[in-house]
Amino acid sequence: MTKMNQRAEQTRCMKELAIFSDLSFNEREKIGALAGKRIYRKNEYLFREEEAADTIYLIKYGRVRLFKVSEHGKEITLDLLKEDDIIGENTFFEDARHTMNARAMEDTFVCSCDKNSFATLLQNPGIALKVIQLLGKKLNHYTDQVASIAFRDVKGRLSAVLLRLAGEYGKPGPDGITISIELTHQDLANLVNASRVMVTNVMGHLRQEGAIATRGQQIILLNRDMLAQTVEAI
Amino acid sequence: MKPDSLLSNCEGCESVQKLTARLELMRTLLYTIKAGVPAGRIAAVLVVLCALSGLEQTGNEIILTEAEYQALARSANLSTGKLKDSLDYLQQQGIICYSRSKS
Repeated sequence: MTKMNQRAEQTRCMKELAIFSDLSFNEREKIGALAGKRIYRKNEYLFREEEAADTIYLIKYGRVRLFKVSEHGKEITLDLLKEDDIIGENTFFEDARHTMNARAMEDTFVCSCDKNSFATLLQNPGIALKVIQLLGKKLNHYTDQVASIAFRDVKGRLSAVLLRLAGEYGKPGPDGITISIELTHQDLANLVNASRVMVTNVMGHLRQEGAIATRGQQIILLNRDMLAQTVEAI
Repeated sequence: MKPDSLLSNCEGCESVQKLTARLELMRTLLYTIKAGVPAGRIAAVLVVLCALSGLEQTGNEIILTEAEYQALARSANLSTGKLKDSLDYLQQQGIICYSRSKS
C-alpha cells in the first residue's frame, strides 16, 4: 500500500464512524491525520487490566467484550461493545490504568488516537456532544444492569438482555428479529449474572412459551411483547 | 481519579471527564454486584432499599436514613463484621457515604 493509500485508509477509518458523521469534509480530513488503525483478531486483547491507559479506541466493526476477573478466577462480563462504541475513556485521567480487560470476540477493526489527539477532537462542539451522548447512553445501560440484577429474577434479566441485544444487533426477518451475533448460554449467563444451567432452563421456558426460537447459537425473538411483559412483571 | 491537566483547556473535556468518572463508578458497582462478593450483596440490598423505602433524593445523591444495621446484615446474609468491611469498601470506592449513629 502506498503512503497516499495508507493515509486515505486511515482517514476513512475515522471519518466513517457515526460519531464524526455530522462534520464537514475538511473537519473529517483533519481527524484522519490524528488516527491510528488496527485489526484485532478473535480473542486478541485490546488491553488488559492494570495496563497504562493512554489510547482511546473507537470500534469500526466487530465485537469487543469488557470483563474483569474475580478473585476466584471467574470472568465477569461488564459489557459487549460493537461498531461506533468508544473504549478506554479513563485515558482522560492522569496516570490512568485500565480497570478491566477488553478482548475481541471476533475479528475487530479499531481506530485509535492518543489522549492529546482526542482532546483536540473534543474541542469541536459537535464531536464533544456526540461523545457525551455515547457516554451518557453507556451510563444508563450500566444503571439498568444494576437495577435489573437487584429487582428482576433470571427470566426477567434474560428477557431484558434479549430485548437490548435485539435493539443493538437485531435483524428483522419473516419469523421475528434475529440477534445477529452468536452467543452461547455461558455468554448469556455472564451477561445476566446467572449460572449456565439456569440460563439453559429459562431459554427452554421462553422457547416453549413461543417468545423466542433458536437456530444454532443465534436467537430469534418471536414475540417482543411477551418478553417485555416478563421484564415488567417484577 | 485525577483529571488530566492536558485536557483542562478543552470545554467539552470537563463534561466527558465527569461522565467517565461516573461510568467507572457504575462499572465498579456492577462488577461488585455481579461478582457476588459481600460488598456486592449489600450494594444490591441498598439499591432495593433506596428504591422501595424512606429515600430522600438531593441532586445526584440518594439519602437512605435509619437503615438498621443488624437488619442490613441479615438481608445481605452477612455477619456484622463483614457488613462493616463491605460498607467501608463501598465508601472507599466512592459508591456510598455512610455513618453509624451511636444508639
